[in-house]
Amino acid sequence: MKKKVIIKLGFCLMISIGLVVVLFTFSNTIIHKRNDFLRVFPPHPIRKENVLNIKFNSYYIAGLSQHRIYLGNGTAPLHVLDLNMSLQDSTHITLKIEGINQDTLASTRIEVNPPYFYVFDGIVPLIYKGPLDTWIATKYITAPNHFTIAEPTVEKSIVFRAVNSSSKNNMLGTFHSDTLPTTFNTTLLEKQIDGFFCTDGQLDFNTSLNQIIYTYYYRNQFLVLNTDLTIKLKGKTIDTVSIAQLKIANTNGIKTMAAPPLIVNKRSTTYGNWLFVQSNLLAKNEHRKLFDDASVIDVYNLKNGHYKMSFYIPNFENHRIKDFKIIQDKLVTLYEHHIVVYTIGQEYLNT
Amino acid sequence: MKILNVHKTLLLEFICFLYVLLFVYAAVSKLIDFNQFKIQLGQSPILTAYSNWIAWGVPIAELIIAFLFLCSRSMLLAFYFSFSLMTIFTTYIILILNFSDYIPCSCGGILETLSWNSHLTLNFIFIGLAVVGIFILEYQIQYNKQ
Repeated sequence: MKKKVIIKLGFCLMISIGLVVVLFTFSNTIIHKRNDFLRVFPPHPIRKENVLNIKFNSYYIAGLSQHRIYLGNGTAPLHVLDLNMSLQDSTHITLKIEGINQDTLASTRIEVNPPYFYVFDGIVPLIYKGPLDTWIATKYITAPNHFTIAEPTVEKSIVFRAVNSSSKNNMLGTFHSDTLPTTFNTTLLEKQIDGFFCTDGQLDFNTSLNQIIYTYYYRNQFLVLNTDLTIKLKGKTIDTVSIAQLKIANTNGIKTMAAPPLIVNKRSTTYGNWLFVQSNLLAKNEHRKLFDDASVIDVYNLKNGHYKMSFYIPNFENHRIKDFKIIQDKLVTLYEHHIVVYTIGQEYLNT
Repeated sequence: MKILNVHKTLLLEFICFLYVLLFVYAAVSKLIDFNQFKIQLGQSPILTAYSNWIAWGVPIAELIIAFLFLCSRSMLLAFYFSFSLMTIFTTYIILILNFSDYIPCSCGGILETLSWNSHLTLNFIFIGLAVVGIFILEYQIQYNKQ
């Protein structure tokens, strides 16, 4: 009698424990390896630290150092706002580009990568570099062709994206110091629809891994590349949009978008082993209201391409973030007229 | 022997009462704030992938078991189910505390104020109660048969 009951209880025990263990194992593979658009949100990922009204909406984050934030300005290309992390001390800087008249600048972007800053203009085209203490830029590398975006990588090397003059598709390439020729790679960015709009994305460089990351705007993919433009891995973002959803109109050989595109990955940044992607899409297990009041950031491990977790950056005065960058435990975000610094819970970004 | 049996029946009824109270309370508090419950499940590192059907499944199972406790014929079944369900909850907590990427905030109701460890203790007490109930009941059924 007693034995019979114990056997029954043992049976229930095994089934119950087994069930949860199986669910647990499956859940781990579903979420981290073959995610079909589920997000995990650890509690209390970020904490708001400081806010500052910067009055203009034309700023972008040019770069971060451990203690300082550098903002570039889209409408005043030579203007840089230099702030500390507590946002209490700010300096307005006007940088100099040696031998260049400001009027010739067309599409200038400043990139700060301490202890240097870089000046890019893909239309002129020019690539200048200078030290942060003088803010005087001198010619760094001669760019023989126009480019649309560029990122400094290792010493004397710049990765850029340009339009292939014969196929009109986007391609990646690297400019080197003046003695080495420019290299192109026309196969990295894979054409899905038109080769130009459908391959659009953001270029980042991870300084601790020495890897280039290209995150597509309109498909669920990011490329992790070595500095010689060989593929390290092809990562997949967790949403399900594998083919860009764009409508392209072609009038007299000029391509335009015929309908608003479906943006998948809006913005990206990288720090440590991680890629942070601001996604534009609501996950299956996500709450509409939370999603609408914040920007969602998905975190991927650059070493294996696996999804790690997500967190929300709340809206500020009903505005979403316009730009964000991360250094160590600091998340620096730019809103319409404000800059907000958050601290990231470090327990999440170890290993 | 007779007096002992009266005590046993009382104890059995008391355990049933505790379980019905626990399950009805747990189920109702989940259903009242169902959206919140679903979000919390969605944030659980283990259950995210199945949060939708678990959100419905758990409170429904709790209500069914509470109902089974009320009829004497299904009481034994209710005890075995409760034992299993409590084991499931306990395994879940142990896995969360030891093997998951992070520990989520705990569930709603009174349990919200409990730490994961007191939650675990509570679960073990209820598992123990279920075992006691099962033994009493199994012996009673056996006795009645003879």
